[in-house]
Amino acid sequence: MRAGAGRLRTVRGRGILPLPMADDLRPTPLSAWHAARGARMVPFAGFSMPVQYERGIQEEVRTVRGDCGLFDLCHMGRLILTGGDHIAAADHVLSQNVAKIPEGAIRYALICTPEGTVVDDVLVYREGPKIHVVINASGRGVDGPWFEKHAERFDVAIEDASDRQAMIALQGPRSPEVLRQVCDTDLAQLKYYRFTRGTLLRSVGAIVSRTGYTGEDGFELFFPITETVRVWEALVAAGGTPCGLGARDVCRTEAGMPLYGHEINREITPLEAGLDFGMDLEKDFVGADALRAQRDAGIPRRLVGLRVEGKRVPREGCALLHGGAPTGFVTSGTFSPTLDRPIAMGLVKSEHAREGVALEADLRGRAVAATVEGLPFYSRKRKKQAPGG
Amino acid sequence: MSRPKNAKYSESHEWAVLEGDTLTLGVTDFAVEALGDIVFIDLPDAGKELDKGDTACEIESVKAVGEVYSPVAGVVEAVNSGLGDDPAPLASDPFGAGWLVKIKVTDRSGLDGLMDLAAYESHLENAAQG
Repeated sequence: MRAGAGRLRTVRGRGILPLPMADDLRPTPLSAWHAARGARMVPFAGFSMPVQYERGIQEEVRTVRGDCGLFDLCHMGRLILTGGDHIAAADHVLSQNVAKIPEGAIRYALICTPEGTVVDDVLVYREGPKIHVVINASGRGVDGPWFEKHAERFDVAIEDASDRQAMIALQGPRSPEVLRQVCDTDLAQLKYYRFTRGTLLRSVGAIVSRTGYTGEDGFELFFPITETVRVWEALVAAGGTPCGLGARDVCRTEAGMPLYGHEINREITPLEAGLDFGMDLEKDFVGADALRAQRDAGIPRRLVGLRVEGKRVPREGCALLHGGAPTGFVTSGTFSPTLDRPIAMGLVKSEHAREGVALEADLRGRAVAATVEGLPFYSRKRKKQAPGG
Repeated sequence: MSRPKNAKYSESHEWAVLEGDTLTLGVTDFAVEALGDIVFIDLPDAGKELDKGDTACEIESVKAVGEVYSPVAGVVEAVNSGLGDDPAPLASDPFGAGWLVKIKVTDRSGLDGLMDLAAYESHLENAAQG
C-alpha cells in the first residue's frame, strides 16, 4: 500500500505513514504533552506537531463544529512592528490598508512578491504603537527578513516574537464558555476580528483575539511562552478538547479558507485565489502594480469549490479537465465529516469558474465528474443548502 | 493485534495468503493505523485483470488515500463488497473480516519478493527507528 496526497505531507511518495521523525524537528512547549496523551506526531514546517489524537480526525472536527477544540499553534510565527514609520512600513509590505485598521481590530492581509504572487498570508493587529503580524509556520525565517528588506527605508523595528509568545486557539461554539473560566475578559463585548488585553489564570497577561481558522466562533490567545502548559491544561480542565492539525485542516477546507502552500504560493496571486477582501488595490504596496495589471487584463485562473460524484476524494495535485482539455488542478481535497462527502478546492481557467460548470477530475488515472461549487462548503451563519436549495 | 503466521507481507504493508490458486489480499494493522479515519474503500470489479504491482483497490481516509498493490498477476475473483458500504471491519479486523480482494493468480512469481511474519515485524521496527 502506498499512501499519498495527505495535506500534511506525511505520506506523499514515501510509502508509509507516519514518517520517522527527523532529528532536527523543533518541539513546541506542548509537543511532549501531546505525545504523552496519544497524539500522532508528524513533522510540519520544521516542528513536531500533533496531526490527531486517538479519537481521530472526524471526532475532532465534530468537537470543533459542536463543542470546543483546542489547538497548539505555537509553531506559527508572530512579528511585532514598532518605530516612527511602522504603519507606513506595514502599508508598503502588506496588501491591506493598515493605516485604516482601527485600534483593537484585526485584518487579513497578504505579503506579495513584486510579481503579485504570495509570500505569506497573515493577520494584522493594530495596538497603540505596535502592529502585530501573525504569520504561518512556513513563514518563520521568511517573512521577517522580507519585511527587513522591503521596509529598509522606513523607521521601523521588526521583532520576531515567535519564540517568546505562545499561541493557542479555542474553536467551536462552546469556546466562550470554556475561555470564560480561565480569562477575566468580558468576552461578550469582544467582537469577531477584534482583540483585547486580558489576564489568564489571574496572572498571565495575554492578547485575546476573536479569530480562528475553522469557520467557527473562537479565540486565539497570545501570552508568554513559559506559561504554555499551565494555560493549556487549564483550558482542558475547563472543558476544551485537544485537537490536531488534521482536524484544523479539514475545518479550514470546509470553510473554504486558503492554506499557504496550497491555494496560495509564489506562483498564485491573491486575485486568482479570490482574496480581494484582503487587499486595497487603491494603495501602493509591493506587488500592487502587478495585481492591478492582472485585474485590468483579466484574471486567468480562479479558485473554485468542487463537488464530485461518489466518495473518492480529489487530492491535491489531481488534474482538472473541461471537455477533456486541461483547465487546472486541485489545491486541497479532503473528506468532510461535517458534510459526509468529499470536498475539494481547485484553480481553474476563469471561463470555467462558474457555479454549475461540469468538469472532470483525474483521480489517479480515472476521471470523475466534478461540478464547480461556490465556496465556502460550510458556513456557521449560513448552513449551506444543496444546490438549488 | 495478532498478525497471521501463514500470510506473506510486503514492505508497503499488504498481507497475502495463498490457498490453491487464490490469493487473499489485505492491508496490515500498521497500514490501517497509519491511514487514520477510513471513510471509503474503492474496490475493483470481479473479473478485473491485474498485473503485478497494479493498484488492486484504494482506501480513502480523511487526510490521505492508500493504494493497495497486487503482489501478483491475476484476475479479481471476489471482493469484500460489504466494505464498500461500511469500511469499519477493515479497521477492527484487518486480517479477517477486513480482507479486501481475492485474486485468481496467473503468475505467482511476485510472491517470492514478500516477507514472512518475522521479517515483516523487523521491517516495522526498522521503520519506527527511522
